[in-house]
Amino acid sequence: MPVMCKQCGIRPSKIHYTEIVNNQMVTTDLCLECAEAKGIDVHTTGSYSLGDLVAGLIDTSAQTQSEKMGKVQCPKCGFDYSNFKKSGRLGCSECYTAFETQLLPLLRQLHGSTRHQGKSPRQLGPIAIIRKEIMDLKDTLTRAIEEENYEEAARIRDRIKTLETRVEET
Amino acid sequence: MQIRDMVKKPAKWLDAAGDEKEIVLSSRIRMARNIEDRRFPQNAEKEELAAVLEQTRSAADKTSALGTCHYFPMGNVSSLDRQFLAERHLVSREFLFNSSNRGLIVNAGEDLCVMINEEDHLRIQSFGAGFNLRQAYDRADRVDSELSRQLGFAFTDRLGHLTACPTNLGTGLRASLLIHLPGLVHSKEINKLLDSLRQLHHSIRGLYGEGTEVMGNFFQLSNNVTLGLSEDVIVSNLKEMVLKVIGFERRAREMLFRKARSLLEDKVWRAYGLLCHSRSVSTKEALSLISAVRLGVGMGIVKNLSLKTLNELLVYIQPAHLQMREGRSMDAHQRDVARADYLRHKLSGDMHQEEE
Ligand SMILES: [Zn+2]
Ligand SMILES: [Zn+2]
Repeated sequence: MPVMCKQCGIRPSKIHYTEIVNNQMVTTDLCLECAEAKGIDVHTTGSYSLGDLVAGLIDTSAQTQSEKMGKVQCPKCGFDYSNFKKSGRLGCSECYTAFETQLLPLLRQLHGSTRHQGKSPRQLGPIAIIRKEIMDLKDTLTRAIEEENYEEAARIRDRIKTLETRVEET
Repeated sequence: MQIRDMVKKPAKWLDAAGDEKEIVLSSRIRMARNIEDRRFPQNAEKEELAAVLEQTRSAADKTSALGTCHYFPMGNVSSLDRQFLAERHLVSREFLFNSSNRGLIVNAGEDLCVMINEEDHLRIQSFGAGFNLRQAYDRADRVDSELSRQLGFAFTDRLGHLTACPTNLGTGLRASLLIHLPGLVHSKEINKLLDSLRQLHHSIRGLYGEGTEVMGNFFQLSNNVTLGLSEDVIVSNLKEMVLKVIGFERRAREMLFRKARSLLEDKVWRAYGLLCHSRSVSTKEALSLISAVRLGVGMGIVKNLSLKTLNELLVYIQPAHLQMREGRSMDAHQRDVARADYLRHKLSGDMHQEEE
């Protein structure tokens, strides 16, 4: 008795296929036709991508919110937010500003954060580096106050003031 | 240089020179970058994409960290050539299907490359042998800094590097390791591992990345979070986690050796026999045989064979590599025969004579 294709159930399975979906190893038996339809035969074709996964997340988390707001478009590139819900990809870098309200909860969900901590392009120069330090210090300040570490908070506040005057001077 | 010339020499990162080479094949860094004031590739017109290609190409020419490079406009490249590049991990699968207005810049050692107009304008990639993420990161970082100064990347202080997909936002950094985990697969502990990796915000994929089949117990392990952590932290988190995975894999291998030594040796030597004597073998079967022999070499069961040879086999038994070596296109059946021939010759050492 041949193993039947798990997809169509009609043809005998020819391909024992293992992939990882949502961090689970999943094994299926497929016939050649269904495998090809899934794009498996070409060994380099995939069946799901991180972007698709994002599109899925948006549907559950931000749908009602954006529906309430009606049509949202990026003024720079004309990209429609509803397209993002389908593709998981944005139209241009300005889209991040245009869709900020919708994106921030998603970013929190994806990364557990909404603030960049890494490398900054060097051509932004020393001012940007100082601005970044100010932002980071403000975060540390909030934490220090929450922890009722007032001595530390005062020290940070002074440091922020010094940096802010330095930015204003230049 | 033409793409077909690349087949003569395996990429440097396959040479099994790095740390933990029995388990970690290679380390890879990828940075997603976009040029300011230009639409992301999926949303851009032809002219804009062509401009991005040209801009990037000329900036790369002036980038000393890249060294001597070759540029391949994908629109002029045959589908076999494209598949060949994908088998070498130089381009993504996206490049296979829609190639116009896309390009690849690759250096001579094939350990640095830039994909142009993939999902983002630039995907800077760096490869290293074995478990050497830090080194791979530093090389990509230098390329990024030089290109950034010339091209001006889309960036804000709050969100960092702006990418077409929010999953790459911030650092745009994806660090990944290609690892061989036969011990954990045999002991059925792999799904437990997958579960805990997910909880720790890391993911594991098949040999050729997202959505590809898991073959030969080869996996790619990488970070998911790109925003809110510095590059340093992302790389060290992944490093720490992979060290644990390596520990688990070693334990699983030792367990196999202690509890089922003769079965293990039998499996390894049977695989070796099949690789040396088959007359027709599919990619998938070959990968699983190579996997078993690789485990044997790693555990000292097979002694006259190097990990370097096995690493190279992983790439050279792939369909486009076989056809490129033979210089003609072959159907699946012909490839299976050519693959068996290649394996036989390579493993019996006849290869050296043939190549001269
Ligand atoms: Zn079917
Ligand atoms: Zn936009």
